[in-house]
Amino acid sequence: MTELLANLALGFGVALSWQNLLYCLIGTLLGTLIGVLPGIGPVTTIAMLLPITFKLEPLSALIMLAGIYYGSQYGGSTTAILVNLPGEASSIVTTLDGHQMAKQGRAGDALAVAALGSFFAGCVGTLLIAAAGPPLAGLAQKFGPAEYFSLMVLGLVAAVVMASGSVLKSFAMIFFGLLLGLVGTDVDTGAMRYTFGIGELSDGVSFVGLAMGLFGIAEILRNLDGAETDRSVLNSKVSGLLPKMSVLRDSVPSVLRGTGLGSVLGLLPGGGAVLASFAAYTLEKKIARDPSRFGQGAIEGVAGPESANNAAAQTSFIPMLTLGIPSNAVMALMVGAMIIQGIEPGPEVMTKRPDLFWGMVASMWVGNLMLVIINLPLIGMWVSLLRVPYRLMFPAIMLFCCIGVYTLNNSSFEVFMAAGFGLMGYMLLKFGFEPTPLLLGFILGPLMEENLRRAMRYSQGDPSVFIERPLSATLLGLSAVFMVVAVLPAVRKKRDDVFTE
Amino acid sequence: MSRPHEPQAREAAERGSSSTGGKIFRGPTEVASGLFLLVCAVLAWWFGQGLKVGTAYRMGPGYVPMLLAWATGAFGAALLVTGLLTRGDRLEAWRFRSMVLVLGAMVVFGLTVERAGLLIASALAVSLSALAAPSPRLREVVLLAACLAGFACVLFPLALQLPLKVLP
Repeated sequence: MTELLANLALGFGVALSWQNLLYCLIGTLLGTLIGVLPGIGPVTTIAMLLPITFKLEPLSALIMLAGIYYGSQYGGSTTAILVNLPGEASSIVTTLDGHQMAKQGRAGDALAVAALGSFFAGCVGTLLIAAAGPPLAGLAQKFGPAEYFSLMVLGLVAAVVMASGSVLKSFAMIFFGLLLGLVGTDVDTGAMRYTFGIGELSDGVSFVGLAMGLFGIAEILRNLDGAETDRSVLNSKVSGLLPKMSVLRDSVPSVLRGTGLGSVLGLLPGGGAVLASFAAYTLEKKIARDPSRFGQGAIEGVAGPESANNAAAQTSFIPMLTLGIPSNAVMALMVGAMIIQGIEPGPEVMTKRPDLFWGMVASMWVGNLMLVIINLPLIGMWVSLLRVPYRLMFPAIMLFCCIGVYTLNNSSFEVFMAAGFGLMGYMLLKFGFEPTPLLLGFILGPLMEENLRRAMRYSQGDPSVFIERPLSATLLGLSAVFMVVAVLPAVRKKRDDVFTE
Repeated sequence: MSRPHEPQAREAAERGSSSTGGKIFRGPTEVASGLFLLVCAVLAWWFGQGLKVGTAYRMGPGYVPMLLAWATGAFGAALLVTGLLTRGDRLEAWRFRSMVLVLGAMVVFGLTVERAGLLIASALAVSLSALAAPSPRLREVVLLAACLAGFACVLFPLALQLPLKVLP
């Protein structure tokens, strides 16, 4: 306990420096902004900012990028409630009851409950990271190459099973991502693989270019497919941002349930904010005494999912920070940011760079506090931003992607690569593939190959090492269970229900 | 984040056909995605031929690439078979105009930024990509290009101190 306090003190010590406070503020404000705006999400934004973070201190860079992610959860709910347009995928369910409340003149209640619920959930999630981090990292330090390989298999399998979309196609994308990860110099032998004599490819496919193309550029092309959506903003004035006691009393149980559910789902690989909010809404509706109120402006339908998505956004940092395993696209980008900064993600981060881990934990709490204080008064400003039409937004996104990826190495080749991956991402979307498993495979591929080779060398080429070592066998067994569960028709149907409801 | 794709749905309804199942294949999307993966797998296999495979004990640089090429190919084949046998979604329509304009704008940026500088490259790229909007307005496009190019030149080289050439 005293150790935890000492660690937290260390964390706050670094997080509260004026420089890190500033980056935390920039991150959360930027996060709220892109959370409010539909058509641009945290993945695109973080990919766009990665090259800029290159010049920052590692901790400042990570604090800012993390702020974008959880800030976007706050911002997304604002648009969902006021305009019936989810700014983020994780606030889709919030539109159901949140916008109904706004129509009934209770927008203030909905916004306040969403913000306060998110804040509570964010605090709990941050505490969980602080409590779960050291033991998990300690466990992971006992891992050999076989265990690491199995852990990454579990991470990838679970990421597919928990996400939406076809299981077969998601697995195919993982393998495609692993293939892309092969490009470059083979670490073991120095042989060039799939570089086609292009010097720029000897370090491998540029992670930033890939992420920007797949998420930023492909998303623009995807959005241009559809007609411009009408963004009529609710005209009634938002009042009553300090809700009555009765409203708070009604929402407290939902906030608690949402926080619990979200924390658990965020922890699982492949989980994250989107799944958590859907699951929380389903849960609230199921246990409500009068389910027919849902969709008519039930406060529980806002409090539960909004707490859940923020809790999950927070706890999904745990596998990334302690094991180095990204569980969703945002975490994959965070891993990329660490690698750019020269930090090897994994359990060693906590022992070698305790200031980094604890500083991030502390900054998350600070950031959540900032979000509550800043956001409620600024709601009017955020909403007026919605009047910016998409036809003005996407050229700006495209330009910042170009400049960002160019400045990485001052090389035009990277811009061409990003354009190429944008084309590929658009094609993949048209073929019904999800880009996230591809990115996870790409990130984990080189690590998996290295650990596979090492494990096989220790065992002298005997693959049974993966099932003879108990920890590795457990991890692989869990992966098998996940895989069977995903294919079972009953579960599949239920999973589809959760995502379509 | 993604918007509803009403135009496609309406087109499909106007054609008077059901929204699923194609004319030649039962699942056109699956067939296309399977073929895509098969092509990638064959390319990976072909261009990986020069790499030494080695043994499981001493893996050469080609061991994992071959493994992955075969696995990707297997997934491609599985999707292809699924598409041939079961009813699936039609292929979504492609919007070539935005593809050419947006990706072309990026290529133009890459080609011009070194010689012409950030200001001109940004203005060119923005005006080109802005034409990809459903009904672009010329005056708006010019204004947007000027504003964004100016903003980028202030933000990146000046405020963020990134080493970028602004003028030719």
